[in-house]
Amino acid sequence: MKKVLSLIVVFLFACLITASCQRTSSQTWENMKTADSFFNHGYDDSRLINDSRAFIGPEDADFIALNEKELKTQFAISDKAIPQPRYSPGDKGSPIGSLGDFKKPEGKLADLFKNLHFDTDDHVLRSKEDLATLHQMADYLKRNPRVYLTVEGHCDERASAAYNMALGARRANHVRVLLIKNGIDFNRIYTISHGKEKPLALGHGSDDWSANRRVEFRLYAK
Amino acid sequence: MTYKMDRVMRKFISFVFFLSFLFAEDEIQVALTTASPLSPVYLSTVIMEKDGDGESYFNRLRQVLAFDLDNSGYIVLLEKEKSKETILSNNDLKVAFDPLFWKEQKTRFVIKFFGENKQLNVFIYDTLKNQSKLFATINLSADIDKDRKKIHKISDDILLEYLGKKGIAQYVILYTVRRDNPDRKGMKWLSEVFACDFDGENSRQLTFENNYCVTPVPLPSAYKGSIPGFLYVSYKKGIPKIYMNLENEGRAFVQLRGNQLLPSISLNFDQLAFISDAAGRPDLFLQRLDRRRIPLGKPIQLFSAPRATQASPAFSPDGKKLAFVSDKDGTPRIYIMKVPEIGEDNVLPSAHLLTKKNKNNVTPAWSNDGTKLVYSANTSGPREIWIYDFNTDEERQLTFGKENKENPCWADDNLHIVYNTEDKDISELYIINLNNPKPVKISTGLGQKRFPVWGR
Repeated sequence: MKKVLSLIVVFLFACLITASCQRTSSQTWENMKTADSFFNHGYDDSRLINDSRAFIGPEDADFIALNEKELKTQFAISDKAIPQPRYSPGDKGSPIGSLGDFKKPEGKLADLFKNLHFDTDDHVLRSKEDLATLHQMADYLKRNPRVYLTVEGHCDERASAAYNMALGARRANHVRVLLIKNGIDFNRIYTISHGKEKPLALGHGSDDWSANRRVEFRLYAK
Repeated sequence: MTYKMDRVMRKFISFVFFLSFLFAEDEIQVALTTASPLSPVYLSTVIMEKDGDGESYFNRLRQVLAFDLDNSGYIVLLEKEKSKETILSNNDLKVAFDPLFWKEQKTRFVIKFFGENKQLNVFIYDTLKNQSKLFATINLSADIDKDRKKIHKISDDILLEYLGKKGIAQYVILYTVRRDNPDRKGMKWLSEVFACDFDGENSRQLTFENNYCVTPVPLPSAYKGSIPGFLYVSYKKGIPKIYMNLENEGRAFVQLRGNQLLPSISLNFDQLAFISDAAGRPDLFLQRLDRRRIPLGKPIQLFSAPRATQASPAFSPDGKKLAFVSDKDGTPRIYIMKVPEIGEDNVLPSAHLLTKKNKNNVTPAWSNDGTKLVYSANTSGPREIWIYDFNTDEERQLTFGKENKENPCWADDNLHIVYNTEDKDISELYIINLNNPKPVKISTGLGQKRFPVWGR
């Protein structure tokens, strides 16, 4: 009887150990939705940052933020709150004159800073190729610290114009966060949401829609 | 024995009910007769003084009054009839408003539209009180836009005096027009803020930024019918920001980094809600305003959720709640949250899901009486206009058709809604009222007309 009992205890203990080592389903979902798995496990040259203070720097309190503690329990590493640059180009104190000075990349840079695409209603980059491109962009920006970047979020025509304006911002910020996680100063990347206001493809078919669900980049070399 | 029989009987009846429930094909519908909310009214054609001229101008003005009354939500204009026109053309009002004749016509009141030279006289006969009078006289200016305003006022005055209802014919509608940029070197499209009258006429451009302006939000007018000051979002500095238009100049309104989108102002003009990615995500923000409607203190980050996009905030009329769109639990739906009191600002509030019937519920707007919320929702294909009734907790579909409809906005009377359609490259403005839910297109001219809101 004692033997059986001890066997059961050992078995239960083993189950407990195994379960605690497993990733929870919600954690897996979190990683899948936010591309965390790529950033935490996919590339050797990525600079992994687990504490937001390491790359945000001192946050200027130009608004009253929600309680960080509450938010921290909810957000994945690639969904961190990373404030926008303190000054918009053209503002007093901004290192850049105007957003009009940002140009569409040309030549080889056009191949690197190409448009990245999203699934319908999604704000997360899914394709490995796009994520690899993003790493290359980050490398370029690291090598060229005087280059500033705009990330412009766009949507297809199917959802409402108003909702798409917010979704465009979501897409642009997702890409911005991924670049910052790769070691780029958050003050060098501006986001702009265009919603569905500036379609690239003017047709109304599925190919046009997928071409329009994108982020575009513009560069400025100081 | 009787007890046993009783039990068997009960079981049998329950079984029959269960079967009927199981095989019922449709819901049981009970038809209830209800009185129409629309009062029948006869409006004469233009009756001119002998040898009077300018009949075509009077005809245009009559069309304005006919539109206003017919779309007031309280009146249905009766078809033109020869016998009615003949009797109304009599110069003697006692003959024109013969009680015996008009009693048979079942009209609530009769309007005689009488033109003489540069003066318009509107006579009204009240069939209930058997009283007639010269209701209004207007001296015409020959400027159709000025005279049109006078007609809108007559329409509202008629509603108030004869039906005790507040009309909205004098209100203006703000909206944006998106067009191709004729300057090929500049941006591909331009979008500017416009205003038009309740009937879509008298359209005039309000911003001249030669840039991209969207989502106007009206501030209070100095007087009814005037163009209100307004907030709007402009891309004139590259990143979309909220500006205030005062004296034809757009001034930055909220000092906050990042994108500022989709502003909404409370009925008392003491709070502004908007979407901003200042913190790195499109979150819901609040900016309190002082009595001069100038930002008071710093903007407050109100709501954020993991992996979610927040959009389109709308205040309840008392300013204590906010409806907004979030996709935090899947597809975009409408949530309600309490606006925090001062001192509660940094606590993440709970938001409860309101709209459950359809997917992709967007652009909510609260009625001024607080009893209803109008929004746009995907309905077996296109986006249609839906209404959530807070008294019954029911959602009901208001519009039907192939085109997408979005950006609905309540008028002050809690009866009319203005919205825009979106069908590929065509967007037009429509109004609809709950008493006669047949959409009426009001916009004309080139360009995509979008983001309509009633002036206040």
